Amino acid sequence: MKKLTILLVAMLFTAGMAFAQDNSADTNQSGNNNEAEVEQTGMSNTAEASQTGNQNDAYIQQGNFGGGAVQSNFAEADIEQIGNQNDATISQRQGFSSGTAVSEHYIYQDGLRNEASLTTFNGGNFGDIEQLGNDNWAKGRQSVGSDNDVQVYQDGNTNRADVNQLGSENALSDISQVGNANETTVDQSATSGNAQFLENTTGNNNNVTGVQYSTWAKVDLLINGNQNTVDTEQDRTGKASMDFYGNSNTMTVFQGFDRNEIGSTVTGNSNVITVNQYGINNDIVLDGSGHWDRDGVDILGNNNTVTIDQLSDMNRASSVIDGNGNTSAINQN
Amino acid sequence: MEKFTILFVAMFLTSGIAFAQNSATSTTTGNDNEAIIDQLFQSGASSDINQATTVQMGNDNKILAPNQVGAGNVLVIEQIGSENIIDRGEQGFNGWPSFDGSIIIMQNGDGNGIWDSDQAGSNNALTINQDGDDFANVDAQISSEGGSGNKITIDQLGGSNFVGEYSHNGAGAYQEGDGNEMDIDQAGGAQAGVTDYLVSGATEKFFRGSIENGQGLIQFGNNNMLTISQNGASTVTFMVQEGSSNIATVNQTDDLNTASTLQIGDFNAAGITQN
Repeated sequence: MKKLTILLVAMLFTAGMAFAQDNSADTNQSGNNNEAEVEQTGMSNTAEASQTGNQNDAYIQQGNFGGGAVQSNFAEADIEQIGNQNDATISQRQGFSSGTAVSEHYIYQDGLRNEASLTTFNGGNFGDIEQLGNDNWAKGRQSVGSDNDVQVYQDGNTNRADVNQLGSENALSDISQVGNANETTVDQSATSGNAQFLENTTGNNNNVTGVQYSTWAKVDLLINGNQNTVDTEQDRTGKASMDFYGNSNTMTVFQGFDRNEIGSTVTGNSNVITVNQYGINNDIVLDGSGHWDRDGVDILGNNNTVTIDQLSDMNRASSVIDGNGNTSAINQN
Repeated sequence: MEKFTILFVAMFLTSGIAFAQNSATSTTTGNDNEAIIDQLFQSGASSDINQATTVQMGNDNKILAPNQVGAGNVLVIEQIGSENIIDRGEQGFNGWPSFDGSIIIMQNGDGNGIWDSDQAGSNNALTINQDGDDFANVDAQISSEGGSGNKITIDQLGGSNFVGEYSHNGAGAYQEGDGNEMDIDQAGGAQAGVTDYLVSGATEKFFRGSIENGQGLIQFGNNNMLTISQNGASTVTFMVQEGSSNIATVNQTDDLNTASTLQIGDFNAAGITQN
């Protein structure tokens, strides 16, 4: 038995030694239709790809996916692309489901019709995408594990940000968009707890959608502009903080289950706010002062419409409206 | 006791005379020897062959400026021992291109070096095999007429090897033209393209006369391939391709590797694998 144990330990040690460590890769390309690919396995590796021009592809993979998967921990990957119609992809496989082995990934794109994609497996991943220009698409997908973060910043028009987080606890999506006709979709439907979705939008005709199924999920939206549309869904006990500054915006909030809370401030005209809560002990009441405790819908402006439906017992709702031509309806069944 | 071996075979013929075939062999055993080989045959034909073989066994030996001009030349050099030097092994030079030439260099021991091994022309092959702590500078395979179909192969074993370390007087490994191939294989921890020192204008196409400075891994032209495989804590620095449809590949295994590639132009591909 002792020999067997020693053998197993030796085998594990040998397997650990097989992974490469502290490697560094750097590719730099200028021109069009170029491809850069970096593949790394092991610990504490760094990879950078820089491309200037159009229709270029950059791909960094750290760790292997699928059968015979090989991990890559404490890794850093960085892609920078200047130009149009470029593709940037970073794939990262952490070795642990918890957030103890942190890897970081950055994509920066300046131009038109660019695509950026972050795909990670296991926990402790931090990803950041920054896109400047129009018609760009940022994609973040983080599977399994806890403490995964994705940040997206887009400055321009008709951009898309899609984040899909399928891990366990403490997933964070932080999206900022400046411009018009942009679109955000955050899917945290498969996370198990404490998911957070932060959105900061400035511009007009933007569309924001968020889905959270985990307990203690939070959605925090700040919308500046006109004719924006927000649609959020929380299916476990969660909190929503939503602030609008502008006109003709539409906000729809659905909260299933119990003990959900909403705090919302709307400043502007002709906005439409609809809240649906299914469960008990849900709160839309002005009884707190902190960011997450300021329950209630507070409206300053004219011709706004507020509809609150609470379809169970022991719920509380409140809306405070200051202005003319506003409509408020609270239905509790 | 220093010995000199001089083999000088010079046949300078006009292109109207169809063929000539020269053969030279030098074998020395001992230390501090020098060998010089010049074979000169200029013809447009590719069937004419100059062949030279030099073997040195011992330490601190030097093969000085073995030169071959013409077509279909074969130069074979073998040095066994330490601190041996090959100083400017050349096939062709500006205005005197080499076609279908072959240089084969084998060095076995530590501290051996190739200061310059040049081929000017097309369809030439340069093969270097070094076993020990050695360095190679290959300022090769370029000519004023342009070059294509040339291949450089460098295999270095034994660790602590360099491609491009000796001085600022020669590129680490250099090819100019189209359809060229460079393949470097280093084992045991090595460096390729040691510094990024180049004369001004290095990012523009230029000819050898103005580029006898630098220690990079450089290909200028189109449809070129540059492949480096290393194991151990190794470094690839200043791997440069300028042109279109070029491919740069770096494979590194083990820990503490560093790789850097630079490509200028369109339809290029760069791949780095570290595992």
